[in-house]
Amino acid sequence: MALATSRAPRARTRPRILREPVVTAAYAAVALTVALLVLYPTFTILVESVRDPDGGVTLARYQRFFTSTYFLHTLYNTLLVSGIATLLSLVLGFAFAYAVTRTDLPLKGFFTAVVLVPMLLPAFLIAFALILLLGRNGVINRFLYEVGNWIGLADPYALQWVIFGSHGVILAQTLTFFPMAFLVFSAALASIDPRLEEAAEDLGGSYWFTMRRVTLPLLAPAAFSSALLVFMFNASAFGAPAVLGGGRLFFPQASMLAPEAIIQILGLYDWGMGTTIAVILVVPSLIIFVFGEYYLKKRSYVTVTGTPTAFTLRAVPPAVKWTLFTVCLLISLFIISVVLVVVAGAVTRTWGVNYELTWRHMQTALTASRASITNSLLLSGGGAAAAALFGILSAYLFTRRPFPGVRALDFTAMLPYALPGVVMGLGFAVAFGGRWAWIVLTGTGAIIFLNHFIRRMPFGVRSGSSALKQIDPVIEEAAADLGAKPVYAFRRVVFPLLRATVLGAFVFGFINMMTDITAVIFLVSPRWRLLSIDLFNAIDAGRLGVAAALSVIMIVSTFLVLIVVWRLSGKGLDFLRR
Amino acid sequence: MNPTLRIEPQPVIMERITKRFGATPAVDDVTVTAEAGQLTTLLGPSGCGKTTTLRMVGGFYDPDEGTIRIGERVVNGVPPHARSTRTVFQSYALFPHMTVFENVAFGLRATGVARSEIGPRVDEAIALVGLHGLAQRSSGQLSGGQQQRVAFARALVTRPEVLLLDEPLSNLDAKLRVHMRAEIRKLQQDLGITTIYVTHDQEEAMSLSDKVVVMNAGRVDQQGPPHDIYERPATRFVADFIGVSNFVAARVETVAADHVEVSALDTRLRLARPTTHEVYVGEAGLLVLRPEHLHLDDADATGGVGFAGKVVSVAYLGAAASYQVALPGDILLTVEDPAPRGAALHRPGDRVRVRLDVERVYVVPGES
Repeated sequence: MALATSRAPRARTRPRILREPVVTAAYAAVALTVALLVLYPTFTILVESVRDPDGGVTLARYQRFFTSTYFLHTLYNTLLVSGIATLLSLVLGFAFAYAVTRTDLPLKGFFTAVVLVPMLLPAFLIAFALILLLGRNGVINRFLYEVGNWIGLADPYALQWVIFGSHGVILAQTLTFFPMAFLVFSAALASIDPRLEEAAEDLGGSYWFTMRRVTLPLLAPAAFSSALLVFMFNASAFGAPAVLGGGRLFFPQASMLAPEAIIQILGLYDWGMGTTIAVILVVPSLIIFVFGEYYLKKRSYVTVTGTPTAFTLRAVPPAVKWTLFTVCLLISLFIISVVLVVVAGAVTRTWGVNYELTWRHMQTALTASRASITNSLLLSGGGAAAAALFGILSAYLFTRRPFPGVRALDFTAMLPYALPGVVMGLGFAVAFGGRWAWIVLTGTGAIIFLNHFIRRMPFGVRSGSSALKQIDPVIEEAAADLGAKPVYAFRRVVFPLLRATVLGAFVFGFINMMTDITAVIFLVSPRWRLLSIDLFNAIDAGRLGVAAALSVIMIVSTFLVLIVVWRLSGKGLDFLRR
Repeated sequence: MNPTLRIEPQPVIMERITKRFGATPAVDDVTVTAEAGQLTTLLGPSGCGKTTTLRMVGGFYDPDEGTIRIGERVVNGVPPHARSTRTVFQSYALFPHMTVFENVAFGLRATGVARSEIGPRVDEAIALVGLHGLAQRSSGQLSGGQQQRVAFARALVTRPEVLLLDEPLSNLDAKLRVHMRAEIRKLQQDLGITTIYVTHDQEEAMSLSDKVVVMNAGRVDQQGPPHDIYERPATRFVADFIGVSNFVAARVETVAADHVEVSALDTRLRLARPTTHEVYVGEAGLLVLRPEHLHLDDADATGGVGFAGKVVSVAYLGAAASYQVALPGDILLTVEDPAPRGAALHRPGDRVRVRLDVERVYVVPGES
C-alpha cells in the first residue's frame, strides 16, 4: 500500500439515496402509510385484548380462552377443517397443474380457464351455491328425495346428502382455495426442466419411480409453501363456516375462530374477547408467513429469474391420464354448475319449491342494494387502483433503491397479506373509532377505502417485485446514461414495462375487494353499505332468491371489469397468472 | 464526415481510483488516462475490474477513493444522467416497449432537446449506423447486429464527450464480430470521439485500440500501444494473456545500458534490455518466447542460437502448423511453422533443433 500522504484527494460521496429527494420522500410516504394502516391497528387489537376494565393489563381473556371447552373446541374445529381442506386442495391443485403442464389431455384450455373461476368469486359464494345444490331444498337433494319416494323407502330422506356440517365447509373451502395451490404447482412444474424427468427415465426409472424420486422432490418446496398459504387462508376463513357450519362441525357446540370473533363483537359486543380471538388467529398466520417468506424462498429449486422452460409433454400411463381427466372434468363441471345454479336461483321464484321464472329477485336486488352496488364499485375500483400503484411503486423502491432498513419495511408492507381479514377489519374498527379516536373514521367510506387499499397493497408489492426481477436493471441504467432523471426514467421506461403488472394487480385487488366480507363486516354502516355484506345478510336471512340475484350482479360486474382490463392490456389474461 | 455529430473531444483522467465491494477491492488504485479523441481499451479476464472501472466513468458507481475527471471537470458524485458520457451496454439494453426511432430519440427527449430538432437528429444517427428504413421497427424485431447498431445510434445521437463500450461485440457471432470491429473503429475515428472500450478478447483489443490497458485482479499491469503490450510485456500475466507464450526460466547475468545477458537452457543469451521494468544482476526472470519467434530445423543444423529437442505432437491448421517440442529438463515449447508443407512436416518423435530469433526475445520478472 502506498503512503496515505501520496494518495489522491479522497472523494467520499454521500449515499446516493440522500441525493435523490424524490426517493427519500417516497420512502417516507411508504413508511408512514405502513405505520398508520398496518402497525397501528394491529397494535390496538393487542392492547384491547389485554386491557383490564379497571385500567391496567390482564391476561384473563387468554386464560379464559384456553380453559374453556367452548373456545378450545372452536380452535380444534378450525385446525381440523383447515387441515383437511388444505390437504384436499393440494391434491386437487397438483392434479390440475400436472394435467395441464405435463400431459396432452383433451380440454386442457378449458380446465385452465375454469380452475381460475373460483378465484373470481367471493369465498362464500361457493358455500351458497352448495346450499342451492345440496341444501335440504337443493336441486340434487330434492331429486334424491323424489327417487327415495319413488322406490318406496321408509324414510324418503335417506338418500339425501345434506351439505351442512364439517364436510360442507371442507368441500366449499377446498373448492375456493385449490386454485391457489394450482397456480403455485403449475408455475413450479413449468420451471422444472422436463429434461430432468427424461434423464431419470433414460437412466431406467419407471414412470412412478421418476415421479417419486425426481418430480415430487423437486416440487417439495412449492408444495410446502402452497400448503402453508392455503392453510393460512383456510384457518382465517369466515364465509363457508358461517353459512354451512353453524352447530354441525366436528365439535358441534362450537364454531370456528374467525366466525367466533365476529360473533363476540357483533353479537355479544364483547370487544375484549373478540380482539383476544383475533390475536390468537394472528399468531399461526404470522408464523406461517414468516416461515414461508424468509425460509422457504431460499430453498426453492424453482428459479424465479430464468425464463420458463418451453415445457414438453411427457408420456403418461393411460390409467393416470384418464384418472386425471376424470377428476379435472368433474371438478370443472362442478365449478360451472356453481355459477349456473346461482344464475338459476336468481330467476327462480322459490328455490326448491317453485321453479317459476321471475325477475322479482333481480328487481329487489337492484333497488334495495343500489347504493351498496355503487359503493362497492367505487370503493373497490379506487382501492384497487391505489393498492396497485402504491404497491408497485413500493416494490420499485424496495428492489431498485434499497437502503439498510428496506427488509423490515418490506416485511411490514407485506403483513396485511398474512393478517386475517377479521384482524384487519377489527383493527381498523378499534384504531379509527371509539376509544382510540384521535382519527375517527368509523362510519365513513374512507375507512373502507383505506382498509381495502392496505389489505391488497401486498399483492401489488409482490407482483411488482417479481415483474421487476424480469426487467434487467441495465435498462434503467441506459435511461440514466442517456440523460433521463430518475422520475423521467421511471415514468417513461419502468412504468410502461410494468403496465401489465399494474393491471393484473388492479384486477386481483378489485375482485378481492368486491367479494370481501370478513374485514368490512366491522366497517360498514347504514350510510356506507356494501354489496358483499348485503349478499351475506341475504344468505344469512335465508332469502336465497335475492342472494342469488346479488351474486349475479357481483359476478357480472367483476367480469365486466376483467374484460375492460383485458382490452386495455392487450396481452390476454396472462397477467392473472403472475 | 457529418459535422453535427462531432464535438470537441475531452480526455478522461482516472487518478488512483479504488472501488471496494465489501472488503475486497474490485478496482485497486488504478490510474489511467483515456486520451482525447482516442480509443482506449480496458483488457483483462472476467473479474479483473475492467467493467467496474468503466461503470465508474459512466457514473453507475462512485469510486471509494481517487478522482475521475472528464476534461477539467471532476465528475465524482455526478449521477449518470448529468454526465456527458454515453454507454453501449453489453446486452444493449434497448427499451423493449419502444421502436428504433423512440429508442434513439430517448436521450434527446429526456434532456429536453427541442422537438423540431429531434426528428432530423435521430434520422441522421440511424443513417450513420446504417439502419435506414428500420426506424419504425420495434426493438424486439431486430437481429443482434441491428440491436447493436441501435445502441450505438442511441448513444451517439446525444453527442457525448465520451463513449463507453462494455463488451459491445460479445453477443455477436464470430464473423459479424470482426466486421463490426472495423465499423466501430471507423466510426470512432471519423467522429474523433474519446472512447473507452472494455473487452476480454485480446485480438479485439489489439486491432481496435490506440492504447491498451491490461488489468489483472483490480490493478493495471501495463498500458501502452498494442505493439508495446505484445512485444514488451511488463509482466508474465500480460505476456500470457496477450497471444501465446512459452516461458523459460532464466537468470540475469549482466546488465548494460542497452542490453542484458541472461543464462537459460545452459546457454548465455544477449537480449535487448527491458524498457518496462528494472532488471538486476542475479535476479531470476522468465524468457518470453512467442511461437512465431521459434523455428524448427533438422537436428543436425547449425547457426544462430538453438536447442536440441524432440517433437511431441503436431497440429496442422492449414495456414500454419503448431508443434509441441520437448526440451531437456521437462520444458515443453509451442512452435509455430507459418508456412507448413504437408510432406515436409516433422512427425512426433522426430529429433529437431529449435532456433530462436534472439533479438525478439523479451525477459519478464518472475520464476517458472
